[in-house]
Amino acid sequence: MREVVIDPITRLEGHGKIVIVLDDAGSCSRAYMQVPELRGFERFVQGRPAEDMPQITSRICGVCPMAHHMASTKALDDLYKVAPPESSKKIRELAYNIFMLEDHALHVYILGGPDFIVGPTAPKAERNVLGVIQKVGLEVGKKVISTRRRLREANARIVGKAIHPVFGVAGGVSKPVSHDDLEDVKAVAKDGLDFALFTLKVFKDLVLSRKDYVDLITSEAYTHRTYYMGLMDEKNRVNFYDGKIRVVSPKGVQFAKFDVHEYQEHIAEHVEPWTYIKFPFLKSIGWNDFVDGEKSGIFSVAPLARLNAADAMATPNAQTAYEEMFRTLGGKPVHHTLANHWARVVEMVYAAERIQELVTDGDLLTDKVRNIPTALPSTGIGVVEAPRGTLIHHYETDEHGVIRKANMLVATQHNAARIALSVDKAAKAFVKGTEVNDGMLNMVEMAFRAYDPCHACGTHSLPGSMPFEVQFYDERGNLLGVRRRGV
Amino acid sequence: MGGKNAAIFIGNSIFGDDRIGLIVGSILREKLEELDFDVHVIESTGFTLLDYLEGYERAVIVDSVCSERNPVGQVLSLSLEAFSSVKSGAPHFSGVPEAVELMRGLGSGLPHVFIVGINVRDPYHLSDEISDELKCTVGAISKEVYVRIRDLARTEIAACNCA
Repeated sequence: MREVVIDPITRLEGHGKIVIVLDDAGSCSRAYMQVPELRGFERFVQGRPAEDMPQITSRICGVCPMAHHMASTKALDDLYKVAPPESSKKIRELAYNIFMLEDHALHVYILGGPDFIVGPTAPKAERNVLGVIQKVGLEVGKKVISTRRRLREANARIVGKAIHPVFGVAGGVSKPVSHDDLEDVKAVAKDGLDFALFTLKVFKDLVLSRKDYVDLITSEAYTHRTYYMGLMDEKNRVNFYDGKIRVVSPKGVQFAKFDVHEYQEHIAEHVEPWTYIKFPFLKSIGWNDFVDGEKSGIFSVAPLARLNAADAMATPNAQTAYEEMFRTLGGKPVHHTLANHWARVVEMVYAAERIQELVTDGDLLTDKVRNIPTALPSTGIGVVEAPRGTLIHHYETDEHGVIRKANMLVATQHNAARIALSVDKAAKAFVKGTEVNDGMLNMVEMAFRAYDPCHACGTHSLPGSMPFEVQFYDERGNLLGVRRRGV
Repeated sequence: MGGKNAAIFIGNSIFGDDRIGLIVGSILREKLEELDFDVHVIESTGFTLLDYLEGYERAVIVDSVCSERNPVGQVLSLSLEAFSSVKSGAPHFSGVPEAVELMRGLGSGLPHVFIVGINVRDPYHLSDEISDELKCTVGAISKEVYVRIRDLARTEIAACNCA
């Protein structure tokens, strides 16, 4: 038996590696992903004032600071038992959707895009953002970058700082939106929707028109029949900012719908000795090892899971795109991991349309943006849909609002078990023989890159240096050889 | 030094030694502005850097690096390639070299980019304090970083683009 170690996973936040165990015939008998960093964030924040949490948590991850900021801000609302004014809820949702649009665009074009836009079997040297630019053209590349920058600048007008927002406070936001700010955001909102619809067209033209790509998306190697989770509004439509958590079964039937305060009644965590990441599962079903199906408590979050968990989208163009996706892929739920890329584009359209709805809402131009908290703090729980899936912040404090305990359930954790399934299945499908070429390895990486996992969040630690190494072992653990990539 | 110049200090305030760039940037802000630099002290890397690089003729990026071959606190002038090999903690592994490469690919106003690295012990673990070795030498480090940037400003740089 030989062991192949792919370390690290390129183009992902955080340090992870894949171990592929080969049998004597050279076929994969088991594959799994390791996340070697220690969790430390919960301990780091003990003894700090809870009101600092939106700023501290936004620094965990360089990719989705807004998601942590917003989940943390909502946890503060709950901690101090103060509901924000409707206007500030809308301001928060506006800023949040701008962030979602920008972040999804980053993934579509820069992180996940190379797999499909350039091609899954293209040489590694071409499977990067420059390869994407070559494929879509220079002008499109410039459009991607300029639109993304304008979205960030627009958001900075609302949240203070585009990278690490400073606007979320218990009971509201720290400043109203001015008339000038809103006019700026309106201009960007229109371009944002054009950009999202354009991206949908790019996806159709470059990906869906290719039979081999569609075959890959729908192939059994990238398919798992799991439960799906997402935050939904009262009509079971996707909402990134607020709502209840809905879970649907592998057959698409509602399994649970609950307020985030009840999350511990529905979600438990399984521990494995070979990784620091924990594997959440549905408590009422239980942990039944790394298998899919209705009898396995493994569930998934992220764009595809959200769309699977929803009955509809809340905006017209997103609804059309949502219907087309499910119609093309055989109806709901879609179990093909790689369909996450398509679902992400559908969500870009939703985010852009929701931004347009919000910027035309007169409520935004009000000075009443905060209700001052008066209650003594004890426990606060907040939830949002991060780009990568459901994100929960849970704080417990003393009577002075000093953190005694903090727990964060991040999207990559929620997805960890399904990612493990994906890696195992893809490796078994694509790794054959002792000659593991770059294309094979990329097919395995694609299995988890579709989730856009973020291990800095999942382990709450920043990654170290990231050399890429493939190690070959025999069944007795002897190193047979080493193959390096990018070292 | 004619044209527009930027000094970009990068770090993360909750990851121990990784905050050294932020500290040095705050110390040097005024002095560098006197040299006609726009000073940016930012807690972000990756493609966000595009927003800070665009429009400048020259940009000096100051960040922590982690190399066991060099003493803690040593200030290093690095090429983009060398920087890439000593640190890649950027979001989604898209760091400074990748951002510059992207700008080059897009043909958009690519500045001459210089990297000044500050060698640190541990930029990867959660802490809001820098290590003792850096604490003791932060004044000297700041002075050395200033000298490196000032010397760049005095030198004809066009032929020295590290990229």
